[in-house]
Amino acid sequence: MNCDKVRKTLSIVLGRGLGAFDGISEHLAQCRECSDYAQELSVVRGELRNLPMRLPPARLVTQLQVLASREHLRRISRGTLRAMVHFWAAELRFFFDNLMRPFALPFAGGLLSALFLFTMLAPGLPTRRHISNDVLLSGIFGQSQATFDALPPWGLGEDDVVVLVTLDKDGSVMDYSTIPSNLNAKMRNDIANMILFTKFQPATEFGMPVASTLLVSFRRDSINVKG
Amino acid sequence: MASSVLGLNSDGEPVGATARLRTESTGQREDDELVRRLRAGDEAAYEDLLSRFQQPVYNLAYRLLNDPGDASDVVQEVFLKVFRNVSHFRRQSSLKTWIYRITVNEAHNQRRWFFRHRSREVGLDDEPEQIHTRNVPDSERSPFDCTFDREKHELIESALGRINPLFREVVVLRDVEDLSYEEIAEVLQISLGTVKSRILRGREALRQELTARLEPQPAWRWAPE
Repeated sequence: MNCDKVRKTLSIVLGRGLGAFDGISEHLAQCRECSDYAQELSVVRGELRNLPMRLPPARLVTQLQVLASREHLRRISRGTLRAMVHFWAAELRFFFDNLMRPFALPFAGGLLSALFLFTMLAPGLPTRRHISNDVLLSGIFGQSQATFDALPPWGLGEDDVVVLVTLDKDGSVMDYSTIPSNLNAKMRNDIANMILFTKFQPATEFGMPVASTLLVSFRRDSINVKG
Repeated sequence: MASSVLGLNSDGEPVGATARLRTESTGQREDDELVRRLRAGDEAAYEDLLSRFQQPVYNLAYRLLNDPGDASDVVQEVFLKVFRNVSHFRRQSSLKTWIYRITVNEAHNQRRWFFRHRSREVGLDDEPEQIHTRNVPDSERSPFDCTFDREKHELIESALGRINPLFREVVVLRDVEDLSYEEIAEVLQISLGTVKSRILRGREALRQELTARLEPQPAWRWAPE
């Protein structure tokens, strides 16, 4: 075995063994140059094997953990159809949240500024008031007293009398009392007939009929009404 | 005498070969279990994969690229591909071989990208990144020994970085990562003969680099009259 062949084989021998390469041991024992060459190769290989292990930087370790966590979440989210829908819904919501977030502060600031300016400037703004077109609200929001429409054609007897009539909200007479109270039977009968054939209008409050009282004064020749 | 020179045991077998065969089946079972858990989305499996491979992958990437920043980028790309493609892993090779293949390919890509883009850039920070090593300070050793070892390692790493990247790959996989020829052929997807040839030429190139650096330079020489 010549030196060239030994040197070409030495590299394989370094990793395998001499069993399959019988002639090499003898050649190395005889050839000084090849022995030195083998020695150098062995030293180089030994030094390569003794190189210190390079440890990953702490930042890389953290980045890898983040990457693993993200990829784990990604794999889980694509496991089932339901998980996929949930995942994409969350992603979409997150996307829109992030999309709107830059506008939130300018929008809020603009709205508050507009409100502030409006409240500051509105009282001083010139406005035209059309009072003539206004609808009077007194009929709706005011009050009115109870009245009656017409008295029967017959009159009372000989004396003057005052009658206090109590009406409900429909205008029906609930009760009445007379002054003086000690009237004779004919007079009481005349007053009762008079009230029976008289049509009353109830008082109103805010446009709505309410229960009320009506004071009616009868004289021989005239009738005075006071609500 | 030749056996001791070549680093072989008394039977002519490389040291550690028997132990490697013994643990191969156990390693295969662990790989299968880890892959199954990764496919099932087990969170602890991600942690296990990282704790098992992040250091050797970074070490390999660093040796191939000789730059800590590039090595970090490559490691992230490697694990991203592993996480996303573990369901496509067909178990035709070991998990370690598969991950190493991805690492070598990514290192190729990074090197190509470097030559296209970053070779024209000028770095602003001249401060070298702190180098983390596994070496534990030994109180028994003298400062001279420590300095000598450190310089020796720097010299070898420097020489390793100067040889052809094709040769560097096989030398690193064989002598640093301790892969078998067959595993290297799987990782690089080349024939066994090519692996042997590249290892031979890589070691020779490395030897020449180191010899050239270690030859004593004369402090002075006679100038011709």
